[in-house]
Amino acid sequence: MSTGLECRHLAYRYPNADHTPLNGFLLQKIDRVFPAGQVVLISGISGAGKSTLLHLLAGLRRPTQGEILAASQPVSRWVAAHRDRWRRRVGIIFQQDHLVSGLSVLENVILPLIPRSGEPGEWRSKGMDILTRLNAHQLAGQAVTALSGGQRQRVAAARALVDAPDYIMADEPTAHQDPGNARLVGRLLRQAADRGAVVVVAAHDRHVEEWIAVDQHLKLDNGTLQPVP
Amino acid sequence: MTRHPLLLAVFATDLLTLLLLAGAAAVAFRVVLHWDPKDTGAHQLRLQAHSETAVLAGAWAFGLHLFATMTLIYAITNILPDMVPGAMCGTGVLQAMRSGGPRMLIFRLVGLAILWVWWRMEKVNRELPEAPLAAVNARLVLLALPVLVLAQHAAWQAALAMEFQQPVDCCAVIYDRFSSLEDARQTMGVNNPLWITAFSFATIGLLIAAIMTWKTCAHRNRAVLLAVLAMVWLPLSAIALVRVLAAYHYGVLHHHCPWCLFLPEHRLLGFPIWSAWMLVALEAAAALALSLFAGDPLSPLDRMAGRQAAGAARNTVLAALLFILMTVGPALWWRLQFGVWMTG
Repeated sequence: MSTGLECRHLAYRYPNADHTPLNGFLLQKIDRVFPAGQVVLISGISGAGKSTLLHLLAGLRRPTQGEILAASQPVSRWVAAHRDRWRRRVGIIFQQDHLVSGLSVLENVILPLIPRSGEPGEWRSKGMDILTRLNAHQLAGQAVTALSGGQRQRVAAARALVDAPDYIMADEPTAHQDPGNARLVGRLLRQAADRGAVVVVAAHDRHVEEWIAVDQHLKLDNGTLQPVP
Repeated sequence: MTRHPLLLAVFATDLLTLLLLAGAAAVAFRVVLHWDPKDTGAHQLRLQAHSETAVLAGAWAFGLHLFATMTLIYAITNILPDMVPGAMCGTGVLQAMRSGGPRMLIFRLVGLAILWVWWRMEKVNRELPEAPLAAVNARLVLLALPVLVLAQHAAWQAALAMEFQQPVDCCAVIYDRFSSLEDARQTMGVNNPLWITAFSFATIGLLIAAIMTWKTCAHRNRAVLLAVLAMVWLPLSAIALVRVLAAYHYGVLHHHCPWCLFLPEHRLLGFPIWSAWMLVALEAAAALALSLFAGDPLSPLDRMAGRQAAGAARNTVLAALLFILMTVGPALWWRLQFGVWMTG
């Protein structure tokens, strides 16, 4: 059970980006709490910085200024070894799925379980369970190279959710899904929030709210987050 | 100057060590000036990221310096004696190196001690997410850099001073130190049996202090006591070894040479014996530094530093026991075998 993520004066600037708007700052002065038990949707045009914000929240990038607190701990400022350990509590659905092509679907899904405790039998059972909930159990033995874009995305979602993480960052999780499968993904994200996880979804598709029951909708514009009424 | 591949390897490694340490020191300098863990501004966050990279550079520099030092000692004891006319062990080689040789060794060992303490402290630092010892460790890196520069300078002077046409008087250096048998039985005017007695008491004291520090997770006063006793034990053990106990390895009396122990005919025992001796010095210093820089009692920093210092104290015990096993052990074996001590 997490107690939320908090951004304090968060700013991010890509190196050598001086000539872009906002003096190279993609995100600036973000002060926002992402509470546990809620699904927060972040929308914005392409290039607004949604993925970068998710990567910052997930501990994949270091902020240029400010900090991110998880359960009141400044995780974004922790030394790498500790931040990496904390990241085991984060599940990420990447925009590009980043599946390992040499492994089968089930092997990809159970990858995050391997550094944790448990037995291979338990991993397999957890992996099959999450694949079943995402209507992808029939793909378990297949090579990921043989999958369609939508199937790959559901496998990536299964991998992010398989260990019931406390923090879930989903980047365009329904972009390649038909409405039925998009609802399945949305339902799983909602269930994760209901058990106490922080769920942050980035999407530019305005249909997302039809498939995922969100608690807050924020718009990322000009490097800042504004609530959408 | 020789161009032996082993020496060239040492110099190349030294150069790489200096480059890495200079890089780490540049960041350390900024850390000392500007480190503010409460600040979340761009400068501090960049400094935090750079300091993590600097720690990696420092760790590599430490490893390379240790490797180069061991390689250099091997070269001095087992390679260069064949090239320096009249040299039979490291004593002759150091004689050929003139004043640069001993200075080089002293600076190297001091540099090693600083980096060793830094490495121990850095282990504590990395155990805690906020890296609370970053500023202290940066000062240690800044301290190590000039010492290693001096070590390199002395190494070059030593290498340049070596002349392979000029013979040295290896054993004369040892035997010229005493003019009579009575002199040979004394060290600094004190009879050798007294040194052995002092060494025995110092060893018992050191072991008790180290075990107490180990078992109490490095209580500050005990760590200070351990460091003080280690400072007493180190010269006493060196004197006891060179003046008395080495005879049981050499099989002859009054050959007061610390370097012959590194020779193959004495099973290269100088390496483990002097390594254990050095380890006592390094770990006792580390235990002291860790106990001094630990935070408030019962804080996470205090707990981690205590655990690390306890590990250092445990290693001190093991190193001291290894030293005793390899120095006193042969003497006891001789006594059991022949019924007498080697005295004369």
